[in-house]
Amino acid sequence: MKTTLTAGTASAEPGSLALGKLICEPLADAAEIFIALVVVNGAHTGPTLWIGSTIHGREIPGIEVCRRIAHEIINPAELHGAIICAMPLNPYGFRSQHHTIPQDGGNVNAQFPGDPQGTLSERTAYTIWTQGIPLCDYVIDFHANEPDGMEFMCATPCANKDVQARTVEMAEAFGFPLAQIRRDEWAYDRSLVAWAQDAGKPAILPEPLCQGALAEASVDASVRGVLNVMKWIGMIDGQIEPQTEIRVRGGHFRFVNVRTRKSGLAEYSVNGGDWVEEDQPISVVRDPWGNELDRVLCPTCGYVRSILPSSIVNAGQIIGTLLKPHERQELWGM
Amino acid sequence: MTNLTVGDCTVEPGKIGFGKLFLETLPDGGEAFIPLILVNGVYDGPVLWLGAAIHGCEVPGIEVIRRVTREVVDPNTLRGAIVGATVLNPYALRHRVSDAPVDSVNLNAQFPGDPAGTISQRAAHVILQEGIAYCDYAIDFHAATPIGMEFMCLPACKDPEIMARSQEIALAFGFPLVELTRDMFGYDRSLIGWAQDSGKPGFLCEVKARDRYVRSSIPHGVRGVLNVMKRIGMVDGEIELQSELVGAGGTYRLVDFRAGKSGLISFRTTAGGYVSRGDLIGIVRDMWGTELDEVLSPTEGYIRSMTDEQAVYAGQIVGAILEPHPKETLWTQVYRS
Repeated sequence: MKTTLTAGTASAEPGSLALGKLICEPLADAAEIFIALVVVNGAHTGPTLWIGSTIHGREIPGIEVCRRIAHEIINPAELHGAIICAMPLNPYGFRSQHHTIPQDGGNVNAQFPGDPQGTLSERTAYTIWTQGIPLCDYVIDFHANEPDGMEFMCATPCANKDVQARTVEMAEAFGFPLAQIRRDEWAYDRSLVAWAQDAGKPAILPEPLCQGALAEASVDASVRGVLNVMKWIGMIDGQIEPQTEIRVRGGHFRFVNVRTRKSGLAEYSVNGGDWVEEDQPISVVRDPWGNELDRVLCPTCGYVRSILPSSIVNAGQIIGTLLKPHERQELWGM
Repeated sequence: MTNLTVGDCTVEPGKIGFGKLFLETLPDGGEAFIPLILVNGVYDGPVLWLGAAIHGCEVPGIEVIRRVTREVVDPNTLRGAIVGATVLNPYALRHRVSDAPVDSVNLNAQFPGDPAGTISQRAAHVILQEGIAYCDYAIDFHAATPIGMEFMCLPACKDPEIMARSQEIALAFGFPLVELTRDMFGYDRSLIGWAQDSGKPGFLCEVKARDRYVRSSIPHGVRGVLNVMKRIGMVDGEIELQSELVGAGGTYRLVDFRAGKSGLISFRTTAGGYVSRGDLIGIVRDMWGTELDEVLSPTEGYIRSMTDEQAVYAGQIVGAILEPHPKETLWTQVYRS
């Protein structure tokens, strides 16, 4: 028997949609700060799916994905289970177009499980972790890649092999290329998806294109990905649809960074999604007089995940990242 | 032709030279300077100023200058000279921002500068007195937004002859040309405004995009510079139309459009698209997906730009339209107010 689902200030009866807020800490001007919630409670029993967006304040495409899923596509009367859409997960960074929380410089996605006595970023993580994620069985945490990049997603290994296997299957249902991030990379041991996995909830992190802007085709592909996941876990009926309109379709990868050895002005010769070979030039770096200082070569073969959206570069800086293909078994042991 | 000297660089006729225009000593003892590329032609002719990155995060002009001076123009056939000043605002470029963080002022609104002022005011003084002073024509490269069109700006000028010659070289360049009055955007104190008032025709060109070289746009900038050089007799050849650019060769007024409410805007048009008055440009929604505002086109014309930060605030300018007007009806007022 389905019951009312309450998240933050939103309570949705079975077969209905409700809007609400997850209240965060106010700022010094006393204005209310909150994470907006859209709760879709299906008429039928089933799992609860968390769709979060914008834990990095400029990474907005997931907001539009949530709107289309919750308001335009899903019929609560037919839905098995429930959806909790939460955005922006970093309301402080979102309103000032910052990646992190400007007031403390913290990356919310490296603060989990958070601290109710800590900084704003730690408190925000704590709010998400204690008032949102416990209500859910599966987690999709939308981020965004650079405009001149390619769609992909990340997942991280998990000590619980069953949760890891279901995470990988969930990612494969979504359909973007899957990059494995180890727990010791980019503070992923304190990320939302890592903590969700450790709490027994399969979790993926998709990255559609564009950060402060929306790319329509990428939003469309992300909506398709969410619907695929919902089909995979039995929330809606239908066949999983292949992601035929993104540049790289599926596969398993690891990140390989590309750095410039010199400071200067970079002219790039590849685009996001291009396949590159080892030692292929991807950029020439010149000084302001036009003298060539460095020719940046690919350290491996792979797809160009992203290119720095700036031609102003400094010595040692990562100016691009490649996705190097690996076998699924090799990365995930399955 | 005689030797050409700018900053610490002296170039003989038929040669290319590299040097610096010294600005200031920094607190750590390092030097701030503007990198110079000088091309001194074998034959007599005008001197053309090509400047870039006066807003430090607007870099495509640097690559345009490199290609023109180091790959395209031959000093042995050139009439006149080119002064390429690739980083006019080194204080800002090193931080990938528009204005120098130390004084937070727009260098392109500080002319004629002040040798006893802040670092940006001092830089404006050096650029005008030790750079522009040696030139006959000026092109100041800026950078269009990533979601936008290439275009040029031409501020109105009190001297009708300089105004006419500025129009002539800008139209030769070939991007869509936008009328500005001196009271818009601080243009009364801009580099081009002061160059014009010193008797040097000039305009401002926006290549794509911001702090990133866009491979498809750089060649348009190079072609435009060569067109200007053909027009003023520095090189031979026919002017090449920028026919692949939307709105090329036309003249326009700039009309902004704004969001009426704060929220997330979804655009219904694309940069370069043509809209009529009242057409739907975008929808602003709140975080719950509720529609708050429809942004309608205030006029007819090409969508010049749309913000690439779609989290917008009430009243924020979220884009601009190039409203077509015949050339004869524009630049008739130096100040609009």
